[in-house]
Amino acid sequence: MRKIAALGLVMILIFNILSLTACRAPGEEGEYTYRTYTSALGNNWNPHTWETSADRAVMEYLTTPLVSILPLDSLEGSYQWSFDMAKRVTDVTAGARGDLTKYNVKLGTGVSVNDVDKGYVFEIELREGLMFENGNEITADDFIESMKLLLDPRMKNNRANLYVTGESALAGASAYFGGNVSFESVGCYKTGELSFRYVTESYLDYNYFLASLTSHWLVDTEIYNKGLISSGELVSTDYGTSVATTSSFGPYRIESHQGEKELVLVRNERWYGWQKDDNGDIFSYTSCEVDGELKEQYMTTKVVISVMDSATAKQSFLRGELSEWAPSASEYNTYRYSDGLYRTNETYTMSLFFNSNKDALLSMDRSKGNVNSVVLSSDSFRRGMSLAIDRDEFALATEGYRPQYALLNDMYYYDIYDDPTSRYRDTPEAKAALCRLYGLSYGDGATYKTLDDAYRSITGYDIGGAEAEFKRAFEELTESGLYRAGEEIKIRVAWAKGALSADDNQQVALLERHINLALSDSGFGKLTLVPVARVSNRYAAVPNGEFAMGYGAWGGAAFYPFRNLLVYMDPEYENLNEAACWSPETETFTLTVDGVERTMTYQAWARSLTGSGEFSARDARTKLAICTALEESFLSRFYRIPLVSSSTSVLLSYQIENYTDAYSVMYGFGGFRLLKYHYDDRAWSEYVRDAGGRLKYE
Amino acid sequence: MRKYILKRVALLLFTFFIIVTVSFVLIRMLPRELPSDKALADIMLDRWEALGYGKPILVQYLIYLKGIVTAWDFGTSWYVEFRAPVWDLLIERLPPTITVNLFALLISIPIGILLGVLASLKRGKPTDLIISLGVMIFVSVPSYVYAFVVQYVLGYELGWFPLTVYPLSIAGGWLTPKMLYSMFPAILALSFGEVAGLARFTRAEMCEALEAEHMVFSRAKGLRRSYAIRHHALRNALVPILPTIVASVIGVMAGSVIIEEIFSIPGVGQLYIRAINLGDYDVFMMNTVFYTFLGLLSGLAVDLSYGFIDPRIRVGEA
Repeated sequence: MRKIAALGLVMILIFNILSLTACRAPGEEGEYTYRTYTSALGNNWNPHTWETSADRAVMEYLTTPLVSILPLDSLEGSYQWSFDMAKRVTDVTAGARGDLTKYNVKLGTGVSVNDVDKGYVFEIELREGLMFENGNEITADDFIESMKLLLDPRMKNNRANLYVTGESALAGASAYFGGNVSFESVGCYKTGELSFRYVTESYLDYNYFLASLTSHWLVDTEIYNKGLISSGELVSTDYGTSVATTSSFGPYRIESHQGEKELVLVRNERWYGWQKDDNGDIFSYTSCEVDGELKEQYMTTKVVISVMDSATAKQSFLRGELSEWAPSASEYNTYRYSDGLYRTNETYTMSLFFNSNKDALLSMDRSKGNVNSVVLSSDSFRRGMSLAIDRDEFALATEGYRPQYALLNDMYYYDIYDDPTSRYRDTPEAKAALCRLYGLSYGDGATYKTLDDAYRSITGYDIGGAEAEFKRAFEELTESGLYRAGEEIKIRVAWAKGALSADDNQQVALLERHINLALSDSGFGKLTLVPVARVSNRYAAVPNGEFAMGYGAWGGAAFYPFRNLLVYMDPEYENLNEAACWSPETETFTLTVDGVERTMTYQAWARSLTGSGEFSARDARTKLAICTALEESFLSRFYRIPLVSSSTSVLLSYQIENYTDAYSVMYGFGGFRLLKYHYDDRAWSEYVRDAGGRLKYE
Repeated sequence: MRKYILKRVALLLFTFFIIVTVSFVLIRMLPRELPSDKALADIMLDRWEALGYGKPILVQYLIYLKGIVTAWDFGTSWYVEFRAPVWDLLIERLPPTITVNLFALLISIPIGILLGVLASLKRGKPTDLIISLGVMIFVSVPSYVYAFVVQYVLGYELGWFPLTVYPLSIAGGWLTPKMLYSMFPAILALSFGEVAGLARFTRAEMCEALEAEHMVFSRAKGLRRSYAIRHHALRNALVPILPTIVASVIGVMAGSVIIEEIFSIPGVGQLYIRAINLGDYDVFMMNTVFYTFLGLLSGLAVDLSYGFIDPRIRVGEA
């Protein structure tokens, strides 16, 4: 007994001693450490195989793009191209027409090689003095060899898709990646020790080409090849998975890495951008003037990425141990007036989407727990749902949500590089499309005087219209024997990939209330929506006949909105959300372009705006007109009901500050590159200590 | 006894094989999530095909068994740690799990037994009531609740300990003073339930032992109460307690999934969660094999330990 008690006391004593000996060291003078967190640490920062945003986050510290974007005048929101690893990028198509034939480039309809003088062959000249962290020089050969490895058919690298498909696809890459031809037929070749050419598969505007160079494919081929092994028939490399297999060519290099725990990056002294002062300290300035002067960049001396959950991260942040923390939507209100809070609207629009196929719905009524979900086969019913939902109130259920009425929200730009203010949603074409969709008229004798007045008044909510649509749907469905008056309607909704939150339940309750209000005198019984959580792929589950209805978001490609139509209209491009509703490959749409009436399938129209499509090389205004017409036509079918779009928030510690408070869709708030520090680590430790170890950001 | 042990080991191996086979089939039958971008989805499908995931499950299983038998190869992780052999991954994740759980056990065993003995000796008195109440609370409330409370109070409010376990870059190793210091909140959170469980068990066994006839006889024989308690009551009470401790010692390798998540301990529990979330089949399978083996081993150890602890008990020889 005594021994047991003694052992217990010894254990307690040990921990007391440990707690005294293991106090944390204060920060160092002249050091600027950026401490961030993640729920899962990146473990694959190979540019050819990275998978998650955590992988990409690590990769961005270790690499420098050929070209990037910097603010020109942050107050105006104007931007400029910053040539980083590239010294110059030139469109040399006119002088290299032979490449178009050699690499089998896809020319637009009716265009011959001799007509072409831009948009296909680009020469990239590299800066002198580029090197990997091990001191190996970077030359054009490295870029060519890296591309060859990326597209190696034996490796099936997932990031090859960036160069095999899409607007900036490399000529010949698809065939080589498919294992059909040699690398000689790929349009990426060396023209000098520090210069190489990139031939695009189809026309690409110069600015969009530069934008494609903001991500890269360069690897240290020596380390890459050393790590090659075969698993089954797959050849893979362990490049970019540990300190030993990583070779940085960016401003930082990995100092230490502990899987699923922590990654520490320090300055890579071999990065071309660093300069040394008289004391041997390194620093860097932007290569072009930002707001009229060269600005210090990459002020951070060390980056620490730690693994922790969000609740722990909040405590850590409030104790001054993290540089940033992302409050959830429900916590946003607490910190909304904080100087350190930066909020960004997202391109993602959350919508209800349906399986409107009658047979599939009847089958789900029999076997999937739905009751009378067949009502969704009625266009009038779905239109009634859309008009019954008060999006303003729905958006209020979750902090940071904004009501939305279209596929593409106000974060899209149709001609961003020539006109950074070219907001898609602000164009007369896009406004008029939505006014027509929601039945708002303007002009002489109409309800609204101008288009802008009408557009501003759109709420998507029209209870009278909804009631009329539901009555119409009731008549259609009862006449066809699909529905009997007064019967209940119960629909399981593929709602979330994860668990349901309180916000989710509130949103469902609101939807039910709104729709039932308009349904009350229509002859239909009560509608019940049953949200289903943990549906791994909602976008496939609905068209596959697992669910009659889904709720989910779609967004991205903010600078080329025309590409988004493929998601809805090209089943060969995306796992189509609405595949069960219609056949865009066969259904046609007529539109007048350049005064000529054209009829094509929806799929063909969507494709015409991208890649080597007929209209892809046309001016932005023409593409805009086609895009808005297609968007309106699609939305008028009510296969998808847009509801809200989301935003993200991040709270920065008092130690740091973003370069600008004026958000730009091109460069955000200036990014990590231009981050400013108010305190070095030593001063920050003292600041936190003086504040009692807990900081207030409310 | 030897025959019995051999029989139990053979049964263990057979059960293990059945569970592993069923797990393999079920895990490989899980649907894989593909990106909605068809070009990317095609590449992913090609990768899986090249890795042999398209072959019949029986063929896959035979390849899997062959890999284990001939090269101790349990497969490769493609998501948790890109291209890492899963066995290496498991071994890498064991030290933090064992450290935290072992220390929790070392704290729990003496305290738990001590409290149990104390409660039994003060049966019905305020001390017993207080201990029993504490035991009820700590047994009923799940350990992650204490974990949140411990983290908040010791790490955030008082600032005595870090909120999460130190990385190796700071601590310098798994058994350094710095590491043990940073692990203290996690160890404490794990200990509460263990202490309560042991205290409850010890109290019950001690109460029974204290009321046994041999105890009355011991006192009547003229032995001091403390001597009789130590040498007769406690020794008898420990017979059923020790096997559970043996099982717990083996169980230290299993880890605690939620505690590891909260305190950011890169252990096997966290590995299991990551493997499931990311659909990393080989890691998921490795963890399943590992947990199955531990479960069976601890069951066997408990059974056999009875015979070793108390020679009067002869298992399987009725």
